[in-house]
Amino acid sequence: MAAFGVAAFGGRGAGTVPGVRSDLSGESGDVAAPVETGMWDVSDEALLAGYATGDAEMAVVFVRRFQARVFGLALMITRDRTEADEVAQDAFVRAWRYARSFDARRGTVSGWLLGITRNAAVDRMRMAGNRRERFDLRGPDELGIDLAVDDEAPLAAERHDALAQVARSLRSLPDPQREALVAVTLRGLSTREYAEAAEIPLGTAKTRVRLGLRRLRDALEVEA
Amino acid sequence: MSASTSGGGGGGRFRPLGCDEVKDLGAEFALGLLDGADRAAVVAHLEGCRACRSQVALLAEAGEQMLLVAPSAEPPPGFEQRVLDRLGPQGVRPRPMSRLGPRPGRTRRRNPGLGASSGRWFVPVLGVAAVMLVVLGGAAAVLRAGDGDGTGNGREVAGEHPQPERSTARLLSSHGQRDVGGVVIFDSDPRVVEVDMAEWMERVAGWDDPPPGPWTLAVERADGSREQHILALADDPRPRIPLQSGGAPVASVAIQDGTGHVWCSATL
Repeated sequence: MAAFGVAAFGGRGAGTVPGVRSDLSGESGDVAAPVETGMWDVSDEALLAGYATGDAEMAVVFVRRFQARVFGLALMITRDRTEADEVAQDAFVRAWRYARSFDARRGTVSGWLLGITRNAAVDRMRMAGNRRERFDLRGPDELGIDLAVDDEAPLAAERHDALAQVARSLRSLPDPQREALVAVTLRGLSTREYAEAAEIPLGTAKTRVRLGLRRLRDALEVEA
Repeated sequence: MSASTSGGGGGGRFRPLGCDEVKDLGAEFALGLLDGADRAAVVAHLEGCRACRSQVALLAEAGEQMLLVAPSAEPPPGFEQRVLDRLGPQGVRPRPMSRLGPRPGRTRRRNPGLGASSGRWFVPVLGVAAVMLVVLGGAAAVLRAGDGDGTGNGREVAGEHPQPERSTARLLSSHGQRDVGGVVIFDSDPRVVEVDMAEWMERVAGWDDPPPGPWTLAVERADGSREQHILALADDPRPRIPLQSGGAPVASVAIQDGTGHVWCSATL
């Protein structure tokens, strides 16, 4: 039953019911079998389905598969390892709780999980009242992390072609638009915060975000 | 640009947006950057415009893909176990990963002291907990009937059809599926809905452009019937709302602002 026409909920219920097997992507039949055949090879979707059911082995593999990326994004937004630790934990708990709301037709597990991570990080930063006075859009990151848009950068095994496509598409954007998109997505800034950090009018910031995302979408379509 | 209210004050409805205006706001909406009036106005437009909905969905997908390029970073030692502890209600420690096999391309185990149990570690625990809840719920119903506060219905339910005394669900935001609060349905007559949005209301209070009131609790029952109740969330972020007596069980609840925009909902 649709919950008042809110498509985002997908009619899958607000909370995961522990102990009930997921029917995600119709792959529930794959959940139990891979234990003997090498669970590291299980698809992300099947892994998420197993994670939702409370399968211990699936849960461990799920966390290990994504923890570096989840923590990396959390660190990029919070810029504090302790905060990032908490945010990343929150993200995995939220993912477990809402795994049934994942719709494979609308995106990938990693994108969905990283979206949850971003939201968790932004929520935490805003509730803590962090103003990011130290944020420098153009300066080196004191945490030693940098945007992985360079094709020469070594890619982890799970960062297959999709990452390279996004990186190329992102790099094709004009610098101001790429800067704006990175700020409001990977840095977790609001448009207003980005405008302040970049010392540009709010309208200009909005325009950069708008044009940048459209151009990125077009570039991704071309790549695909 | 900004969507404006036609009526002014907190309860006015938004000026309907055209496709061109939504096109301007679509990127920020897709990235979750819009709050308040703008967001509500875009949502209202998207509900009736398939073309714009499709465009925004593409933008949202592109925004999600942006996150893929975030750099990885090794979490602090013990991270995996902390996550697993939070998932398991009693912090059950997994056993070594004897059945998982080696991880492709990796020769080093990141947390050699940690691993998985061979079974579904939190399923059985939660299963036991669920049984206990049912038992306790039945016992509570018996006790309630014994106290003489209820009617014969309570006694009948406790004696012949033990059911959970209440049901709970999380309230998820309509964008981003953020956990913004919880809801408890007390299975009394009349049924009572308890909403907890204290944390989220604190956040809303800090917005430059908070959603217009009044907040409304919209309830949909299993038979499709609906009812609405005004909430004073600013004064009481944890209100208890008695519903109309009788009727079908509650199927879902939603929290709407003064424009009718659904901010969050929960399905029971």
